[in-house]
Amino acid sequence: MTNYLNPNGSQRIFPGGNDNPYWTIQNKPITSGINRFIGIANVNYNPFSFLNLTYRLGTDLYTENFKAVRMPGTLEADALKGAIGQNTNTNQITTSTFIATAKKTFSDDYNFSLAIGNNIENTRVQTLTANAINFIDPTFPSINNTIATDRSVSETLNRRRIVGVFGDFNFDWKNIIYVNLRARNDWTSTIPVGDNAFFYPAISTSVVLTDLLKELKLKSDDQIFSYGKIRAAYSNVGKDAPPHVTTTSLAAVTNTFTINPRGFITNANNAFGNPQLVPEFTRAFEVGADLRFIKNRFGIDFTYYRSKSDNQILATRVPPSAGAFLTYLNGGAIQNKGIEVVLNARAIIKKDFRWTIDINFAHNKSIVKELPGALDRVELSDAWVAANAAQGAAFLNGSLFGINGNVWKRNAQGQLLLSNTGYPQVQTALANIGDRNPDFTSGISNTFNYKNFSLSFMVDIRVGGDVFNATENSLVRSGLSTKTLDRGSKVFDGIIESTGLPSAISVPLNQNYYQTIYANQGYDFVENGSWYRLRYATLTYNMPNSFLAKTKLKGLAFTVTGRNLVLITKYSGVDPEVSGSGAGVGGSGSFGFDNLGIPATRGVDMGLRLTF
Amino acid sequence: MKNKIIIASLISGMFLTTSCKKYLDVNKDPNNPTKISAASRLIGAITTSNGAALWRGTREVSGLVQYGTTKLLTGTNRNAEQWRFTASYFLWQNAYVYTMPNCVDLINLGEEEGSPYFVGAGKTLLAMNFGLLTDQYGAIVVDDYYDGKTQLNLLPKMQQQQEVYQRIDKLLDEAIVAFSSTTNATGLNANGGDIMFQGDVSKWKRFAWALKARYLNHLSKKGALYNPAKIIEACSNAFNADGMDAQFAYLSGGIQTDENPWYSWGGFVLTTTDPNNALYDPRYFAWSQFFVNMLSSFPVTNTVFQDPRISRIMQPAASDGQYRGLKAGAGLAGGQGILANGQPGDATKTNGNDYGRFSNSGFYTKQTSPIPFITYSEIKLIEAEAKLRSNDVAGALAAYEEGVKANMRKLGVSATEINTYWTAQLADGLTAHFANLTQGLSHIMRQKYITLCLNPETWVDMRRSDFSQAIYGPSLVRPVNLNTVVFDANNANQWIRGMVYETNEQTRNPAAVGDNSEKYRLLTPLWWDTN
Repeated sequence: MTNYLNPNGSQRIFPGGNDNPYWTIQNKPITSGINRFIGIANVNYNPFSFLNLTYRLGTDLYTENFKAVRMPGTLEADALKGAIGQNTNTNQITTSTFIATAKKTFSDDYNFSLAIGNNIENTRVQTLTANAINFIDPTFPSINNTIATDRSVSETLNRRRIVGVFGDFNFDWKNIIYVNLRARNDWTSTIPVGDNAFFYPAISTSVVLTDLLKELKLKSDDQIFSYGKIRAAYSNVGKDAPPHVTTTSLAAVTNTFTINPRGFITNANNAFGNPQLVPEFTRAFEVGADLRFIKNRFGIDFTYYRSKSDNQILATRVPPSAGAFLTYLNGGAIQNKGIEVVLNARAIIKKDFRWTIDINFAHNKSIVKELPGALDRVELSDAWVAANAAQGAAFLNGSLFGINGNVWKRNAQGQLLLSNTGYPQVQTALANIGDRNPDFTSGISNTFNYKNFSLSFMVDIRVGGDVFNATENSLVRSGLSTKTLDRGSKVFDGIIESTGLPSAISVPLNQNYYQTIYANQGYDFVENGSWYRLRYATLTYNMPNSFLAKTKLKGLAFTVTGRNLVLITKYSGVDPEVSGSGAGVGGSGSFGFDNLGIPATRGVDMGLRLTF
Repeated sequence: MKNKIIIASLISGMFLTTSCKKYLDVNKDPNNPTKISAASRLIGAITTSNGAALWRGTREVSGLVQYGTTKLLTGTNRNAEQWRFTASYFLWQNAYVYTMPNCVDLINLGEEEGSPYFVGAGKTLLAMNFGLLTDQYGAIVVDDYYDGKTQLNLLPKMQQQQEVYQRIDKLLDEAIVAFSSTTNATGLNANGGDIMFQGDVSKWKRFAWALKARYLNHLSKKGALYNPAKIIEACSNAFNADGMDAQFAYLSGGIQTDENPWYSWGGFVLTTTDPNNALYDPRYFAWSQFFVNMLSSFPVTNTVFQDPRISRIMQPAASDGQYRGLKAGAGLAGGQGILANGQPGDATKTNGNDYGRFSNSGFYTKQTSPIPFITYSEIKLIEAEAKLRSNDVAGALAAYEEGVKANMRKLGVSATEINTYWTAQLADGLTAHFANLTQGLSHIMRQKYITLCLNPETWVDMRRSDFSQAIYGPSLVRPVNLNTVVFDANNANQWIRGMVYETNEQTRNPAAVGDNSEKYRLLTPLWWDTN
């Protein structure tokens, strides 16, 4: 494979018709860069002692440049004589916020504050795209090195504007009982006029138990029950739609496998617009407590939350006979429930030796309660992996983070339906083959201090949660996986579909089977992604003050940190903590897809910290 | 100072409320229009009906009815030819999503703008696309389809095929009325979009009548529903001369998708020019021996006679200058297909140069070749069938002669060659054959096979003819390497009758689709295919 050139400099072609990766590195470069400018102006004025006026204007402007070149000689059919694609993406988010805050304390015990304000957000994203094929000079990759008819340009401009007014009312009694009321009304540019104004309130309260007990003279010191606070909150948050989705746009281009329309047609590549969209709302409720004991040596912070999003604005996949692939719809409800617990303890506090431990624990469950139409899942086709053997999807009455994958064709009794040659076949419809959401995650950090040494480390735990091992699938396709070791023969336990009779055909488990049959199903590549890992361990030596006194330094520390030193997992791949296509994928993303990605690196850092 | 600030904020607050509405009015996409005039939408409705819907409705079917044959016995190209159809067959979305919204928009815009001609054009094209769909799937969505006015229907219901045929006929009747309108605000070619008829409404009207004739003629198995008189009437109002076929030329010198897909982007862009190279695997490699037989022998007698059109459609083999085709499903390794008389061909011809190419070979697969929707020749052959079935033998013969000769003229065959061919036909017993219904139909259907080259209408004719060898000759046999998961290897008379609905429809609209198993869909005859 490394010998990728013919003597005449052209690409050596291997069966399979794909470009050699070594040739690709040299001849299909992708470059990108960002220029960023951030500006913020702030005006603060106190016309009266109780009143503060604040105005803030900020803008974040950045430009991304992207260029992808495919040199002549590639085997990609649309770029045989070379191709270049480049785009310039200019983003600007400008925010204007005005807040008037009035504060007043009555009879020393009752504190009131009221803030009212206005917030304007203006988002503008402009993308200029230029593509060209057929380089005139085959060695010079530039858009100028093409004839005019081989070039195309396009522009997109997304604009979203939101104007909001809000009020924020705070009250407390002796810093013991707090009440917060908030309300906001937004007007958005992305929802049709008539429904584009929406109101949403929130209320939260907390009580500092320890202070309350003291106030009531039921408690005198903090020796045992040092601090206690309970809290509760309810909120309802509205959200608008993406820009420009209330109407269906027209386009004068299609794709490389459909006729050039020679004029405007319905833009089938975008979601169909919907003039009847209304805002979506998420209602959330949360209760929690923060309790500390024995002079704050032991603490527990507990939170329970649940939320439900209704009328979600989804780019929903619709039956083609409706007239589109996707349309924006209000529909779909997602329920989210979870608990979070943080425990911390200063277990040992001696003069020369201290040990503190922090444990956090989180459990979350997201369930899709409703979907529009007859949909039983929302597919994320931009998160396809393993040559379309599996993709991320949210399932109705199931996980938001499911895996939608190919399975063997079976009859109602669950028996395999085999082809005439005796091999299993992939069923047309995909099935729910896994849930990427973990049962819980936990992190345990310990810090030991002995004299001038300090050792801290964190153990990270994830229990449950499936990972789709697309890397293994890829290895199967190239014959490098241990799953392909069995090269004997086998009679599949199932019935021949065409005859309905049990199979007696002994079939060879050869390259053809592993590449073209076995690798096309997904469920055998779903693995438990539980892990225990030593996320980091740091050893620090702080120079003693006696030494520092001789220098002008206020502090001097040496550190050695090891990252990802230990990973205990039954997962067969390198590391179950991977993401298939990065953070850019929409919807529930691509976490839990091990798709030839690069796992977090293991490493050791050494550091020197000086304080002046 | 304090007062000034308060006043200033009050003023700015007032300013905000009044200008807020305007400030928020930015949801109109400045780059992509959402509504433009009908005159600017006609071209897209025509091009997508051709290069999205019809193209995808014939891309695989052309292998199914044995026009094209593939080279390799591995890979996906062979699937169509060997009838390995699954829910991943995508005519459905190419018609419903890429094409038909443009026809519906055209109807709505024409109505709004007071231009009934655009209403007529939209309805004609929409009816044709519904026809294309129903003839492959049977029951399809008509009533609940996109109407361009309200939110999309999430769970569209399907109409049974008999109802679909009523809807098609009604749409075409309405189109004919619209084309006959005396007032019309904007002409069809006002923006240069009428690439078929350059604004000639009389030709559009004939186009609508032509489609009426085609769909009425599909009912030949339906007893009393088959009405030859109405078909003949429709034919008489349809195309009546050369040069008015519903088609447009693909373009050269533009982008690749301006070209005819059989020439390039439809699976014919290759990295090598050597037909014996392993990477040389176009969607179709060579024309089939069956099609070669249609063009080199006469119906009924199977007398060998070279149709002059063969050199306009195909190219001879580079090795010996002979016209030769492969056996459906057998690949290049299978050698030459069954000959016109039913005898096996030369199985030793397994070199790529023993066959002329499929792509870029002649009238139908060149860079700028049109993909005709419906032609004058087809209409005359429909008329011939209707007249033959109503015992007007002389009328049938006359229409048949014009149908055949019109296609020859279109392909650039000289008058001398036409006369030689026709004389030979007559000498082979043509007139006598027409006295017999099956033999007459054999002539008509085989000529339709030639004139409908690469059109999915041929699959309709073959199903109406029950793939009969009495009609198509002894070389029409099922492909080798047949998809025996669905088709019974031992029943030579079991043919493919319908298509599997697309997976996207199956999973998102399951109740309307019903049983979508390959076995059920591929084997179950559609409504008009049952007696």
